[in-house]
Amino acid sequence: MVQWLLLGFNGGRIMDTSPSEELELRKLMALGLQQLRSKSDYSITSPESIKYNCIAWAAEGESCKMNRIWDPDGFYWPKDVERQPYLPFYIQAFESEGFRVCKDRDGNCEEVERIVLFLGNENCVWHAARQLSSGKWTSKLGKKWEDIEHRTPELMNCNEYGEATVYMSRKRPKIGN
Amino acid sequence: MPITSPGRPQRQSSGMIWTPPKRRGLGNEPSNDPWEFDKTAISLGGTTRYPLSSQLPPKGDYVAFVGISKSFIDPQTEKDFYELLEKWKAETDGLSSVRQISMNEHYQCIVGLGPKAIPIILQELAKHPDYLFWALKCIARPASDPIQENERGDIGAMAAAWIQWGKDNGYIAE
Repeated sequence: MVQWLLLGFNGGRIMDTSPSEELELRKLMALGLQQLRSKSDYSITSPESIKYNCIAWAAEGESCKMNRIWDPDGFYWPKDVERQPYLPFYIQAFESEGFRVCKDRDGNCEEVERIVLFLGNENCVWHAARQLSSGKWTSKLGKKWEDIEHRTPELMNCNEYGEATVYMSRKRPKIGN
Repeated sequence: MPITSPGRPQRQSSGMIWTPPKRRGLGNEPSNDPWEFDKTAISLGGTTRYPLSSQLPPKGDYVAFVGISKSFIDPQTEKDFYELLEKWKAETDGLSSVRQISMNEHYQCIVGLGPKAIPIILQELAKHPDYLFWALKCIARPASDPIQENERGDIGAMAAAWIQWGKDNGYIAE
């Protein structure tokens, strides 16, 4: 079964995988992230955690202290922003952290910190990722999986997360990423 | 013949002698302690409440079992809950949006289990905090959400707030 899954996942090549790698692949397949085909596209950078989510990870970065979940439906949400799951309210939430909507998606990653919001159905935000000073992007997977670093935001486009659509930026904080 | 005299042996219609247990709150007076009793029986003489672990008297023509406390864990509901929970986790652990996670069909079925699921959800939250707060809020309505604004986002604090609510409202036996 596992071999069949890997065969499908890796475009026909049977891979020599460790149990932990098989687990990773199952997760990526569950999300429909078949485009993450090689280790050069992504790497896992944290243990699993349910204490924070992708929105907190994008908005607060390392300073989110790994213990805050951002979501308009019952979890932490900036005080002056209406609790709605739609794009305009997520933009307002990130604006409360100093981000502004921007058009440039590349360049000067050391001084500028970017995030991208992923849009799903009905203008709902389903995921967010943050650009590191290296130029790579970081995403927290789901409510209880790991963080991964990925080469481009589009590599996270999938049915479960929607599409990378709205970019926002701010001056990169001096401490942490 | 009333059955509400604790400690006094009583002859039942079957001819057997049965002594009601001596317990605080027995009789018609309501108890302030929701954990003292788990079963309620009613007779012509009034209402008697018994610990869940105790045997009810042999059912005669004057005793009827009428209720179970809010903390009682119904085995069938518990089985249904854990089956749904496993399927819900398998389908949503990789999702990020609480709206998506809560709209999952298995999660909605957990909500559909109703008030009997409350002690079971609280028991699960105490062991493994997860995104079960929406389900609790839906089932417990019109009770107010016990989570304080400064606790939102901290899943451990949110679980603790609901567990305290469960204790305060009789859903968790201490």
